[in-house]
Amino acid sequence: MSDVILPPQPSSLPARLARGWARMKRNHIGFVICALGPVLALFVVIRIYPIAETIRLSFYDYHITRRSNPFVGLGNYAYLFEDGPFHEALVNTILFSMLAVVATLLLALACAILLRSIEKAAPIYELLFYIPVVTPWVPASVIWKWIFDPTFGALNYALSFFGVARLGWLQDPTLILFALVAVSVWKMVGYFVVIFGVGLRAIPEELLEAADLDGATAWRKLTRIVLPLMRPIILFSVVTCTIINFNVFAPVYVLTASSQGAPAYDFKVLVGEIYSNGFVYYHMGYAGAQCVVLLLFVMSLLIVQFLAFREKK
Amino acid sequence: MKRRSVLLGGAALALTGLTSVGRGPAQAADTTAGRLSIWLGYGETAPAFKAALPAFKALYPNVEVELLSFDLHEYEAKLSVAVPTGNGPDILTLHDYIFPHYYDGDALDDVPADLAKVVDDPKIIDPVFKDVCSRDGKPWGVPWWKGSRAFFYNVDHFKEAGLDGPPKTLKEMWDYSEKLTKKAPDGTITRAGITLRLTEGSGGLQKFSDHYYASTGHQILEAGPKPGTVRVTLKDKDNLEAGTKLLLDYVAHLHGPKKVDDWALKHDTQGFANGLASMLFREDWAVAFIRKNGPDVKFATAPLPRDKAWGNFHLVEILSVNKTSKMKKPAWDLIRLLQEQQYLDIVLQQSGWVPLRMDRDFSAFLSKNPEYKAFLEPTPGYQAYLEPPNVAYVEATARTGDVILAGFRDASLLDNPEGAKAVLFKAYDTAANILKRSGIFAP
Amino acid sequence: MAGVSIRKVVKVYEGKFQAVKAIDLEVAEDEFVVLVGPSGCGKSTTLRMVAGLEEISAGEIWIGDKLVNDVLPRERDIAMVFQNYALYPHMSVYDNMAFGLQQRKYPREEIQKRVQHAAGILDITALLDRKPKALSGGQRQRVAMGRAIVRNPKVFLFDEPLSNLDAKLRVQMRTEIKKLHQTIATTTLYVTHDQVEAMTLADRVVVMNAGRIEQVGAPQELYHHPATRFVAGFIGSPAMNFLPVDLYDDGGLKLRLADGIVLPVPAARVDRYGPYKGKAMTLGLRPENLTEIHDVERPGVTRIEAPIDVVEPMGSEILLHFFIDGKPLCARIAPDCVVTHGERFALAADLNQMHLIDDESGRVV
Repeated sequence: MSDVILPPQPSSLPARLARGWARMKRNHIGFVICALGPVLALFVVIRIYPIAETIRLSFYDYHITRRSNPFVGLGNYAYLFEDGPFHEALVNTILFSMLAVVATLLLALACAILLRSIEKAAPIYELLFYIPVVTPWVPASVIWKWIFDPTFGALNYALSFFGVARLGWLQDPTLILFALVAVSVWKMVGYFVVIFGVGLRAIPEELLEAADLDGATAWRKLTRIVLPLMRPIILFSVVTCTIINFNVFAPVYVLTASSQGAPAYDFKVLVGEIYSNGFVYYHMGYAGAQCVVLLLFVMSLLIVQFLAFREKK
Repeated sequence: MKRRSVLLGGAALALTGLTSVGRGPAQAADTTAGRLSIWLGYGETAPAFKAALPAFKALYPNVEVELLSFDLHEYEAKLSVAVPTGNGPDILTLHDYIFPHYYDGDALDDVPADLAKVVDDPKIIDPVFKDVCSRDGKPWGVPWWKGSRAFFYNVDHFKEAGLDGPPKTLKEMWDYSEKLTKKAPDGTITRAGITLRLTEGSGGLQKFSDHYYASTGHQILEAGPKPGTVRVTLKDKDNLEAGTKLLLDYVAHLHGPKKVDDWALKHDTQGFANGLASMLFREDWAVAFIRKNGPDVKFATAPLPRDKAWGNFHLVEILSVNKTSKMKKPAWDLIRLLQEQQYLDIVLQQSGWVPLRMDRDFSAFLSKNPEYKAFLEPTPGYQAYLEPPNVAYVEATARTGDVILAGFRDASLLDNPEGAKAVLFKAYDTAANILKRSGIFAP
Repeated sequence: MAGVSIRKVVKVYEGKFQAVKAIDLEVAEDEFVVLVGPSGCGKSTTLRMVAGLEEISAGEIWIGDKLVNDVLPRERDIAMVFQNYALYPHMSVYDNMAFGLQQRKYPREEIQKRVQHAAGILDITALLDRKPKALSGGQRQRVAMGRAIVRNPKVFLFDEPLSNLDAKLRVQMRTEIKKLHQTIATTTLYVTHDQVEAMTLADRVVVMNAGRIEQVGAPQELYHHPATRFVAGFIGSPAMNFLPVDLYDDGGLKLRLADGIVLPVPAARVDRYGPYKGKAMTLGLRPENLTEIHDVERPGVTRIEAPIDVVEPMGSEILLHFFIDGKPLCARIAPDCVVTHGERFALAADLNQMHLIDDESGRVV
């Protein structure tokens, strides 16, 4: 360093603060820590800590109201294999997810493609489709509960014009699966219509014209040009839709709540079981184990999906 | 339904507080200051508290009373996370089946001697109800009111079918239900002869249990020899036979030519209030509900039908004080207040639940509300029983109930005793496993 | 192989804007025709109508002996090379080229044969396994051409294929396209805004302007005998010089420039220009007809002097820019002349090569 003689610096408080601030700004890392610190701390407290604690508690027989909570190692996980309702919930959730994801994404893709042909009016439709997405789950589910009501519901009323007898949409064990899928599709399709719309618009018109001249029919253009080019977006959509549907709770809770005059079939889903075991039967440790299983399951689903949609080198 | 009523101590109470300042030293007001919080799972009993407030305020002018009502399940969940962490309400209104959680969790304050004496007196509180909140002979709460079931029937429908009174036996019940059922030309049921409990595990098991008790004299889940333990009675020889027959009866009346009820119909009290069902068995609150939601429905109540035995399921609400409460004395004083006739009257009038104190007189109410006959009038030979209080109550009843309810749906059980027996075995195993897991299984 | 016939074709957008105004064009079999013109003149639109990518508002388009107005693009048996190559980014070069044949259900061996053959012609055999994003601009353009070639279509369409390439590559590719046409003679319709491409590639050039055809003809024809002022100014680089002149008779037909310079009309043109005496006319003279003064004087060559504004030494010649009467002019002189900026320089104007344009009609008389 050269011998530069600096003038003496004032040592009043404001001056010192100003110098400190300037030093911190120069020292980039320090500034970043100060800026992100509070947010990260909040994130840790609200997200990381509860998740870590849940995983920890899954190794204990943790009962909400009891004083002693002994360590049981993998005892909770062992019980998972015997727990009939848990298996039922797992099967139901997988079935539900698969149906919902396929139905939602196919419908969204079809709508997005149709909307391409009325490009000018497309934003209006996208807006209309998006309204269910921003509607809160619970009020929407309550409305659907009424639509599905066997005696006074709009759906059975509409079907009666076609001579279809009264159906117990929420009472029949098979029909309720489709009823729930319908609600989920209704809620989420708008989101994916917008996403697929973006993906479709990103494909240059020229490519489709070239395909036209190459002799491709509309179906071929879709399967060999459009869909392959939309791969990353489709991957994202499948992943997102799967996660959302795997975690389904609110509509199931509302639609299957056996309120007074509107009994419903108790369709078990994973998160519903976690809720029951944790907050109704008070087996928090066991519920924690189920949470961990849910986490692992979703993560493996994601890995499988990433591998399936990966760019083939 | 979720009702939330927060009573603001605020202006009204301050006002009564000011007026009490002018009172003479004859009734020295306690100067304890703070907040007394009460949480209710049965919001319909809130009016009793509110009515007792002025008298309470006279004793404790500086105590603000906070009264919160929740939906029953929400209430239980909130209580379960609040009390163990020391945050719960001061007065705990405990249902008999969650009482064990708080006793075992060491969350309850000792009952003052005078109230304990009241609870122990068999002339004031029926021992059946005392036992449910006592341990080793010592009461840990004050039983407040009870609910029980009654048999509701639509008077007009009965007249129309030429039936001159409620069914007295189980067999009559099934026969009447077949007569009362109305069907559309294509076979779908338009009016259920009897509306059965077909959904929701715990409730389903309970209602099935009503008829199981009549058939066997036992509950499906009974108290075991050691306090806090439970045994499952399904596999006992006579019970198994009777239970199988009962399940077959249910299935026969839910599938096939004798069908009297359908899952797709409006059910339960709502269905009865809409005139879509002729018979119903439900608890006290149903009276007020049917009056309000089905004003055109002319109905009456009767004791449940009998078979080999005759008895009625009861549920009890117990008043206790939180051990971590800082307002113990005011809390117990409020509980004492609630024991008085006028406030117990309000409980009965507003909610239909029947106060337990046998030294009070409710005949005036009964004469004005004959529909409560089956709930209020003691009937000789009619046995009252309670669920065995245990820490796994909710889980055991819900899961076991699911098995039974799944059995109802299974049309293959029609005339299939072996199949029905298998369902009961599965129910037994389910209940036993859950009880074993909680360490309270008695073989 | 088939010719293309465009008869009174009109393209109207939104019922108002006429992009193409009733044009007629006959392209003979195996002929290489270039549509050239400034942006927005309707050349691309015309091409796309031939391809079937745009609807025809009025008129007929025939490919061979088939009327194709209502025929789908994929059934017209044509191949197109796009400006942006339009290669399928997710497919290899081989798959890109094979795609069209696969759609038409050609057997695999046939496809392989054709692709290898085309790749050989275009020298892209080594690139067959690569994806488009791993190719340079020139390579991509060749793949695009390869994709068109394998189809063996009746007509090739090129839509400004070289516009995205740098100057040097453009020259190179131009030659390759010319060579390709010599190898695989197919009816070709080529669109460009670059008149150099038009001149070098075309059998015939179609100059378009504002939705109309200005002139059709062989490159040389258009160069030496432009029919309109537009064509005259469009073809040739540097562009033709234009000056407003008065045509009058003063003992012989003369042209007077605004600042007084008088140029005699060559004898051979007197009869032709006579009828236009007194009308407002424009003189057109190509820069190569404005040279330095040679020793030998020829009839029709007149001397002009003007101060030099900009000197551009091109190596093979020098371009001089100067003003006459405020109008910019360009002259081409020998590379060894000594010129300085601002100096008055004497030029020889070879009026034997002049063009006289009637301002009213815009036509060259």
